[in-house]
Amino acid sequence: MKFLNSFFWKSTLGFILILAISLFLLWLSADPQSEEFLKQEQLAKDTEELYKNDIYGGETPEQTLQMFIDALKAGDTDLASKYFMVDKQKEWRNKLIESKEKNNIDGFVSVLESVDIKKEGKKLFDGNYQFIHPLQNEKLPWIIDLVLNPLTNKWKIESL
Amino acid sequence: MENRKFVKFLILNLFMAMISLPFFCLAYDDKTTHPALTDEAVDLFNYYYQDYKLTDQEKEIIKKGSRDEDNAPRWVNHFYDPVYNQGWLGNLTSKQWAQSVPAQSGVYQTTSSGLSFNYFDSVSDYSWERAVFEYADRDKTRGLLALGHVLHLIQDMAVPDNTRNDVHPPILNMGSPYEGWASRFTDENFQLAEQLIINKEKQIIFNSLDEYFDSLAKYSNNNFFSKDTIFDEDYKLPISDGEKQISNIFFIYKKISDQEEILLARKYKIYNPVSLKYLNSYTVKDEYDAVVTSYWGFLSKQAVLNSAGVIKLFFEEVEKERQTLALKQKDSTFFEKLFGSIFGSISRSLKNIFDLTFQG
Repeated sequence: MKFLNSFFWKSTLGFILILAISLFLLWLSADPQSEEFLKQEQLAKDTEELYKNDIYGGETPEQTLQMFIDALKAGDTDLASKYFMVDKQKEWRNKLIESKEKNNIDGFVSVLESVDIKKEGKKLFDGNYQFIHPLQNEKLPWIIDLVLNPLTNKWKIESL
Repeated sequence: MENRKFVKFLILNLFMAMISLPFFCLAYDDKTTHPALTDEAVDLFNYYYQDYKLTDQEKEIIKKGSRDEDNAPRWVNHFYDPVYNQGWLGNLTSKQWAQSVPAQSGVYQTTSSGLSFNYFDSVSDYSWERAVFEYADRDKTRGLLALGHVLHLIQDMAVPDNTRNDVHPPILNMGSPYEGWASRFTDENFQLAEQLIINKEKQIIFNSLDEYFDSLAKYSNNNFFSKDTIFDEDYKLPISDGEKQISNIFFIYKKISDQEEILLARKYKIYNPVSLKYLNSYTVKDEYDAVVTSYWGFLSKQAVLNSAGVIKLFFEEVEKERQTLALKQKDSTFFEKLFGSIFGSISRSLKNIFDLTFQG
């Protein structure tokens, strides 16, 4: 009887101990900050940083377009590509390098200078602006699209 | 345990809210457009279902829920591409997010949910089940607030960028042009329910939340473009039915019926600095806002009709819950169920012995 009692209490204590350890481990695993969750947050922070640090551009759409033309004239394709929106800069850097290699930058600049910056600009809804340039013998105009980066107050080229 | 989880989650949320809220807004604007759509959806629901009529105070609670759903970091789960059944960068689709209590509770990968704390206890959970449970069994206000969160997710399915996996840097007006333009609508300047009632148009009725997500996501995905998915090879639809000139601008359009058509995009030229040639291109921007206005005409109506239908489904689910108490049972912890079961068995055995002894 004494053995049974001793066995009973040892088993009970053992069960309680295992249960307590299991619960403690489960409590540790109940971490709301999953890796996926933290990755998402990091992505959001990185995106925001990119736009906050993007200081290239003018205070007006006209200034940005002129700065872009000036950079091309100086042969600085790297600087010129920085006047585009962050997510388009890589694509445009490659395009401008290729254009330079084919000696087409001067031709590109003369086309850009055909835009009447003072007359062909049009404000769309908040933070959106377009230069709408009519083309000869063409029903469709050439449009240079700009948007305002509100974090830096600089106008960026979106498409061209 | 729950306190520790709650404190950690709260600290994380406060931190992320501080750094992100001023800059991030996704899909329809949370301060203006979502409350506007929700306001109209409640009005439409109230007209057709007088028995359930929501008061002005209750409407404001639902609108608050529809505003709060964009709080960081919830918005990363607001995308659902029905063609490829995917969310943004491998995150949950909004269809899954709306219905996942564990995900909304901040417990993504735990096995201990429901073991020693209640299933519906998390402060960050505004899921569909939680909405129904709270309204039917615990706290009506909390239930309506969660309903507002779900309506926000449904309304986001009426934004092509959210259903065509086209996520832009969501920084004020640098995101989708359609969303930026639509942020002008508020609950004060947007009126639609009255017109829908005059036209005898009713809320859309489905039997499950899944069907609402699928139907509206397919509608916006298949009939509209987002900024960077115009004639994208990943999507076969929409197909243009032709070109037309309005004033001096050329548009492509899609016919919906004999009388109705969607202006899909403006046609224009871009310049290629490598080939030194002009190329055709398309945009949803134009100087008359004709494309985004056309999109809004169709999409805002669908957002309201579907939202009103979801409110109807919500009250049906509440009725079901009141009869079955299935969610109340689900809310019980493992130990509550275990002890409930043990004491229940003992109680039943004692009752049987009593019955046999004194009545048999």
